Amino acid sequence: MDVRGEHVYLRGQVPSEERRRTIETVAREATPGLRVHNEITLVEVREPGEEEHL
Amino acid sequence: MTDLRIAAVADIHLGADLSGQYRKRLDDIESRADVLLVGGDLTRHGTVAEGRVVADELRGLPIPVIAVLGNHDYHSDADRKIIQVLRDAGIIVLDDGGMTITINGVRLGVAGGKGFGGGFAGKCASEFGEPETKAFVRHTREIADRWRRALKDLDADRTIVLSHYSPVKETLMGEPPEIYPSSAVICWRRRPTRWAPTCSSTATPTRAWSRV
Repeated sequence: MDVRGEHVYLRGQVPSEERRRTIETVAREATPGLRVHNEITLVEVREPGEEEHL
Repeated sequence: MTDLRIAAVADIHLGADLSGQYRKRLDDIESRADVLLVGGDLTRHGTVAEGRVVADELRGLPIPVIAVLGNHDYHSDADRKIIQVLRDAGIIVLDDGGMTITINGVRLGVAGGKGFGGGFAGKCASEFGEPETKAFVRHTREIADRWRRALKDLDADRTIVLSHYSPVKETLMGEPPEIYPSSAVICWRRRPTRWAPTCSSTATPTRAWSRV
């Protein structure tokens, strides 16, 4: 979470839309009078990419 | 010796909102991995209800699932119950102990548990000074002793330490250095051998380590 002037930016990744909304709700409650920008994204489910052989 | 394919994931933080969702990510895992290691923080707040979601999401996978708890899983003082719920679902849960499982003819030994903080070998806190400091470090030392015994007792072709807290500082690469002391698992008095990360066939961070 970054606060710049009267703007609050939420960033990061969460696994569900419900958690994304919950974070925004809490942020709005904690920062009355500031404008909250919810830039949190949902975790993208992808094929496993990193493989390491030992 | 036959290679083992190890999938490792941690911090899955499941709750009711992800019920039925996480399992989809494990579809066809048996074609990519021989065993799944889950390195703790299985839940958000360590409630039994969240533990049941974890059990349901990991239940009945076609490959063995070995897990440890993380600090989140202790938050509601329900860690014993969560362990039982997971074990009832067929998940192997390590709680400062070890076990050996044979996969494709290879005896895989896994030891570990949640772990705790305190620093790494040569730069760790000591049981000195305030009672709070001594209690903190004592808890870590006792865990380290249990892991040392568990590792010593393993009779396996391959050995893995599975923990939530980082067993060696290399697992913390990319994290802020300021959090290293509280993210370290153990003060290894004597590193048993060289430790290196396991091969991971998932895209998420791993805290599983394999002895090579």
